[in-house]
Amino acid sequence: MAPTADTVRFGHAYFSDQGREDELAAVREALEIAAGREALQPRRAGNDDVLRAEELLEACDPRPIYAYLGDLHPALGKVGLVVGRTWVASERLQGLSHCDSGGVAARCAGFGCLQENEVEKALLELSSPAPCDGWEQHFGVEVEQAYGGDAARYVRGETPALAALDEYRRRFVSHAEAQEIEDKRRLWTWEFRFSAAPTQEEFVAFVCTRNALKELNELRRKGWPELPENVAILGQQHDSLADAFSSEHARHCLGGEQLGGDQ
Amino acid sequence: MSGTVVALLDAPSSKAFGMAPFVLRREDGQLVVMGISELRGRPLDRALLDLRIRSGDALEVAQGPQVEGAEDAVAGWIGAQFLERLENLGEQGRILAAPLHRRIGSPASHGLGDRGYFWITGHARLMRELETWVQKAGHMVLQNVAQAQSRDLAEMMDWTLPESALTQAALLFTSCPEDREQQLRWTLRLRHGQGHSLDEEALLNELEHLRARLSSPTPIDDQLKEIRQPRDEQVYPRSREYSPTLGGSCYA
Repeated sequence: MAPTADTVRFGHAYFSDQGREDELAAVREALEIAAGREALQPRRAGNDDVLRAEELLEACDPRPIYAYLGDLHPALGKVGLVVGRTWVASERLQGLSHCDSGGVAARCAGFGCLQENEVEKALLELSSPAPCDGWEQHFGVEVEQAYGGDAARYVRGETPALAALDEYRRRFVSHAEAQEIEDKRRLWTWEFRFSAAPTQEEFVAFVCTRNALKELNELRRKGWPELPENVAILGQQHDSLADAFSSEHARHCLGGEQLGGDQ
Repeated sequence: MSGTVVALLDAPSSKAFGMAPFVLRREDGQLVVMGISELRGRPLDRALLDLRIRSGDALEVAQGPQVEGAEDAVAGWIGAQFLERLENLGEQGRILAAPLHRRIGSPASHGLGDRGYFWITGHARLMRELETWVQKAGHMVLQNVAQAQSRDLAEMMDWTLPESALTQAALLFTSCPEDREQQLRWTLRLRHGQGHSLDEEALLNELEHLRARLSSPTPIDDQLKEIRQPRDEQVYPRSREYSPTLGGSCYA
């Protein structure tokens, strides 16, 4: 089944605040979350720009849990959790942006073409508060116009046809290309902010590197529960997080495809 | 691309033997990701690296080596606890620890506190080292699955190359009988995650076949002799290691 705009899943890259003191913390905590024993919590903000974006979007109380539609960002975690589309249901969606809101607030990299006095307006125009009615239709149209309807190209992070984007994102992409900035994906990948965690049944995959798999296996030997059968373990033969998160199997899963074996 | 190693990404465990991508600070001050990574050669924001170091997802390297990073350069890794555990496994452990001691004793290796040791090498070459080590450990385990230290060795193979069929066979056949079925199912899940579509019976057949092949008398003794070298012997002569000063490739 080829991915469509309606099947693309959410990616949340997880890391632990305790990882420096406890080698196994990130994998153990991600395991507990994917097994439904702990709830996914908002992470500590990486910088003040994220907090500023949240303030401008009135999304800071409670602080949201972030996820990207169809993407696991390797800079943001040690374990990738893929979550089904039902996460947006049951009033858990707090809001969304059509790109990385923290990047807009920071005016960094491809967002660097924004003037300081444009930040608030850009953020508000690129974002919607819950209930975000019609977002699926909007995303579908964008995938249709930007990628000829091939959602796999969105999930692979291909640069969209500029005509499909709004004026701000066209500016971001043009600026990034002029500056030869390679990491452009955050300029058009949809960001979702949630006020509550997914349920265990909504987790679809646990994406990890070979190093993280070693830790997962150790936890299993130490008596931690195995990942429930509904959660596939992907990416494990890769040594770098970036490769694991963008591996063929992880992308298929993010695109909404059913994987073989235990799926 | 030349520069100074300032961090290892995807922080490898002190219990592991393996590899990791690394971050190089170029002479112009720019941080770039190196290693077997889609991000290879890409700039990395200092604030983001600091965040990853704070979260334990990257290991900071103080006064790291200067390297010429070749296309497939990667950081090899020997965890301190891995080495210690190996040394507590008697004669077999000492045999398997010998090449690791030579590696960390080489001038190309750098200690990271009590966490472990790293060196910059080529990905293909490091994979061969890991596979050779797992092969030797696997022979020892599968020839003596009932031996007390075989379970420990099997777990250490898992801390080295968990996806290796030899590791999976070693773990399965050193499991206590009541855990064996569960171990087989877990291995099957991992295989499925890699895109393999075999069933439980096919996997068991594969691992049984591997065990039968490796547990019979083989030239393992010759292989063991090969690695029973004096600790002070340099298996990898200095000239074949990366040279911090010569400006050549970082590995032979």
